[in-house]
Amino acid sequence: MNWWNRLFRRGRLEEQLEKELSFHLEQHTADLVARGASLDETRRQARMTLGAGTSERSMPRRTRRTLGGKHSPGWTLCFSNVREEPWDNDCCSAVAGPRDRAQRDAFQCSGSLIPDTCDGSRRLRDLLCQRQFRREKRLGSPSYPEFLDYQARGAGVADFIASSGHGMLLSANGANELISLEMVSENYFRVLGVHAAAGRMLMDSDARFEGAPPAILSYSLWQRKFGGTGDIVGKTSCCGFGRFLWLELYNAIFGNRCNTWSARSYSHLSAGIAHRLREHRGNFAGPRRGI
Amino acid sequence: MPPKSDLPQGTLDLLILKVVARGPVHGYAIAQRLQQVSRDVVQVPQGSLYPALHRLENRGLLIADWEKSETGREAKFYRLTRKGRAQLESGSENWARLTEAVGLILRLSEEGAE
Repeated sequence: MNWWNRLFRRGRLEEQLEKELSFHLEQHTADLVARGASLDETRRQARMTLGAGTSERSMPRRTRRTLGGKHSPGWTLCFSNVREEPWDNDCCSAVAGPRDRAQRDAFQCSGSLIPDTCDGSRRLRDLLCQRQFRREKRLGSPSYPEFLDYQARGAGVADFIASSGHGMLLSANGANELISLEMVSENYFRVLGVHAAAGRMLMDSDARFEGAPPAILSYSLWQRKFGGTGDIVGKTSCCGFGRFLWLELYNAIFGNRCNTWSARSYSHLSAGIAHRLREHRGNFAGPRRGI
Repeated sequence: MPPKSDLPQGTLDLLILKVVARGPVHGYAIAQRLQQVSRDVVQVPQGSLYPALHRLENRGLLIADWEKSETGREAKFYRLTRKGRAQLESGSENWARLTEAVGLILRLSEEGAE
C-alpha cells in the first residue's frame, strides 16, 4: 500500500506547504503595510516576491506539455502540476475551451496560487477543474462573460486574469507579418506586475473605448518592426481586422510568447475576429484552440 | 542597498541551519534574518528557501511543528535536530577551511601579478 501512503503524504505535504506560503505572504504584506505602502500594492509586491513574473516564462511551456486535446483532465493535471512547484509559480493556469461550438475562441484563465482565503482557494480549484460547471450541468468551459461574472463574485480569489490568443496580419513599413495577439482582461499586466518601457499599460477604460483598440506592443516586435522608436506610441497601424493604437511594453518576462496585447470586451471582439477570420481565412492563422 | 549576491551551491543549507540553531523559527523569519544579518546582500527567494527547508526536514536535520506565531497565526516552526547540529558544525568547519584556502589562492595570484 505504499502508493496509497505516498498519495496521502503528498496531499498532506502540499496542504502544509500552501499554508506555509500563505503565512509567508501575509507576513510580507504586513511588513510592507507597516512601512507605509498601500494594501493593494503590498499584496501585488508580496505575490511578485513569492514567485514573480519570471515564472511566467516557464508556465506556458509547462501548460502546453500538460494539456492535451481534452480539456477537463488537462485542467486538473495542469493545476496539480503547478501545485507541485508552488515556489516558482505565483500563477496557475488553465485553458478554457469553447463552450459554444460557434464561438471557437479559447481563453486562458490564470489565478493567484495563493488566494486570500481558503474559501477562495476552493473556488479557484472549482473553476479550474470545472466542477462548478459540471454541477450546473453545463458541459464545456466558461465563456468570457461567465469568467467576468465569476471574477466579480469571487472576492476571495485575488487577481484572476484571462487571455485569449489569435493570429493576425500586421501591416507596417510596407511589409506584412503574421503576429499573435492576445486579448486580455484589463487587470492582466497589473497582476503580472509588468510595466511599460514607454507609453502606458492597459487601463480599465480601454475595454470600453470605442475607437481604435489600444494595444500593447511587445519589445521584440517594437524593435524589429518599428526600429525601437518612441514616436510609435499613440499612432495607429493597420492590423488584421482593424486599426490599433499602440502602447508599448517591456516584455522581458514574457519572452517571445506573444507580440501584442489588447483589452476589449471579449464578446465584441470574438464576434469581430470570427467574422474577419471567415472573410480572410487564407491570410490568417486560425484562432488557437487552447494554448 | 548593496547588490544581491548569488550564494555558492550548497551554502544555503548551512546558512539555514545556522539561523535555526538559535532557536525555533519559521520560514519567513529565516529569510528576514538572513537578509538582516548579511545587510541585504543575501536575499533568499522563497523558491529556494522552502524547498531547502523541506529538504533539510526530509534529511532529518530539522524538525518542524505547527505553532502559534507572534501574530497569532499558525506557522511552521523549524528546530535543529542533533544530526542537524552535527552537520552544522562539520559544514562550518568545511566552509572555514574552504574560504581560507580560496583566500590563500587569491592572495597568491595578486602577489604574482605584482
